[in-house]
Amino acid sequence: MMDRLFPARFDNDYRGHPAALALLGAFLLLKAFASINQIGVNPWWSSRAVLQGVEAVPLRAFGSTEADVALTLFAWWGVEGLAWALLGVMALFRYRAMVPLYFLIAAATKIADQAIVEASPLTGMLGTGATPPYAAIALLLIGLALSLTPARRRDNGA
Amino acid sequence: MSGGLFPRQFDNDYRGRRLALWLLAPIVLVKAAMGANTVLNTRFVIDTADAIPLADFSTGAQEAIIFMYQAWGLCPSLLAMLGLVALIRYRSMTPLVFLLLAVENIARRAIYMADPFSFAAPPLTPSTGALINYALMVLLATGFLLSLWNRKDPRREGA
Repeated sequence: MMDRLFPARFDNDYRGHPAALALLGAFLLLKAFASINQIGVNPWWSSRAVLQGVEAVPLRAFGSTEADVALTLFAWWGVEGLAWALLGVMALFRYRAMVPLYFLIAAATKIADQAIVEASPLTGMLGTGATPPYAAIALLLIGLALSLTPARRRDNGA
Repeated sequence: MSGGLFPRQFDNDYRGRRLALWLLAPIVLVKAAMGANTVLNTRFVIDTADAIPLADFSTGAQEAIIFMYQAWGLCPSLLAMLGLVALIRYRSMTPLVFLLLAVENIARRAIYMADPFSFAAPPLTPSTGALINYALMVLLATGFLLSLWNRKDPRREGA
């Protein structure tokens, strides 16, 4: 298994199940969309609206300085997410041998995120108390398993 | 350049200047330390490194900001891990790692410069965190160029 996660080279020779690639594509689309919204470069949806509406952070109850800091941090978080999404796009289109490692890193990040959520005193905002993160962790682990499962070769018996 | 930045495969066949690898190693260490510190000593980092007057904020704002700092702090640690993997096993990935780290640093700074915190009004004194990030930006740009600069390989020339 270590050879599949850390092969001698990352090239486009992917040997896992094709469903893992579809799953990765869907994950990257969502991740890139969320990151772009966080950074505040979506002209139709401001980062303030996302932070208040989707993440349920009561920005109106914050002072202007508090809201400024929260929005800047939200954007920084989005930059990191976008950097990882870009790396995922590279893995998907040019270095598919990297796909299992990418799933492993993405799943580990989500699990660590969830640990921070559990330790936080926050309730009802920024994903605290929600079930979707668990679904995302499960999907990423399924993706990891699929990417490590050898696909049947079509040229068998040829 | 795309051959150096996006080669056909990432392996341990590194063709850039050796100095870039020596630069990447401490940068990876600093990034990992910054990430871990942000997650584990969040309040200290916010107060001292980033000079944000957290104690003046309401409890709700403090909790939300601490949470976002921790969630964001995970990412530098992960980027550092990617750098470590590149250094150990996939050195031809070095230019891409430099580029990712540089873009991440510059984009973060650009977001801040576009809308600086009101409490950091002029005269602007850069916080410790900002100074570390400026130094990192210079090192990352230097490392990126050095990693793309092919070194002479007598074996290849003689072949």
